[in-house]
Amino acid sequence: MSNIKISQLPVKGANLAAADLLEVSEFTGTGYVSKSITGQEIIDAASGGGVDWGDITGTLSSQTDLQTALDAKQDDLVSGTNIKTINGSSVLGSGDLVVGGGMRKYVNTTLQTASITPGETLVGSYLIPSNTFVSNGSFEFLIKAGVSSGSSSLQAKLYINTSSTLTGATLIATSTNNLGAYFNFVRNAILSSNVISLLGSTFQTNIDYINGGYSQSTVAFDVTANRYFLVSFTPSQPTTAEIRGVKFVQYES
Amino acid sequence: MNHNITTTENGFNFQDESYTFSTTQLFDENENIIESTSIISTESVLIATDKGVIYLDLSCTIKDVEYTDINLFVEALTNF
Repeated sequence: MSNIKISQLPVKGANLAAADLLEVSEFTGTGYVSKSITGQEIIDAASGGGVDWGDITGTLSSQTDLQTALDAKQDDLVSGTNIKTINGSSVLGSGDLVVGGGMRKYVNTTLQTASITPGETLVGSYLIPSNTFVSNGSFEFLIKAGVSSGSSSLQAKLYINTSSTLTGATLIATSTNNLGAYFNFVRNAILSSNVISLLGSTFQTNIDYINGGYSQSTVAFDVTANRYFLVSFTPSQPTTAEIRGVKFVQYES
Repeated sequence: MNHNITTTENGFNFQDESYTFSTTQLFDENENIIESTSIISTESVLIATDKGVIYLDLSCTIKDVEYTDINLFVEALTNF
């Protein structure tokens, strides 16, 4: 075969294939030895190298899996645009956002029924876990109660204690002697530095929306500790009475 | 569970609290100040104190003495 130039060889017209053979001159240290190398060996040697970040060329959207993942990401949060504000304040950024002026509550709608005789009987015991309320604010107490059978009168009292017993409990409020049916037993109070101020605890009335000139009671209520609100009944004769539910609501100051 | 009460010159000690008798928190239905105690049953009494109106009953002992009569209980409580 006569000598020809490389430029005179037929054009392959395709990418390097695994079985292709190329001639290579291997340096031995003192000279060169002609050897063959397969296309696969060249491909393997080339594929181990990475591309430095920043050196990737081409169009990002052409890398469809990357583009899809990016498209699935949420846009930057912009206060008032794609994230709401609270009372006009942005919630973006680090740290604590104190939200004041709210309402706290304890509501129990479990029906409490008891067969009771004259004398005072504890009928409802409601555990208020520590920090359910805060030490300052206004308070509303509502107890819905009544005689479910019989014609007895019924007086309710509301107490607070550190345990679920009347013994040692502090009286908060006293209802009227109610004749038959149901009644709402309501008190409005101010809680200031863990002390409740409200209508005199022995003053007998269901609702305390009354004119002034009446006594006031102050009762300790440490909101940082567990406390029980206790509801007792005193009937005039044996009867079945019930508490249909209680609601204790605080509006924070 | 029995709770023991110890009396003081003008009050009593109960469950790690000291109470002083007071008439300012105990009123009848006509808003008249009544005595510092109000017996509400044969076994229980309301006591007006500086810490509010406290419910006590015969499950309590006074200076480790048990009582079965609420009047004697109140007398022992209020007579130091």
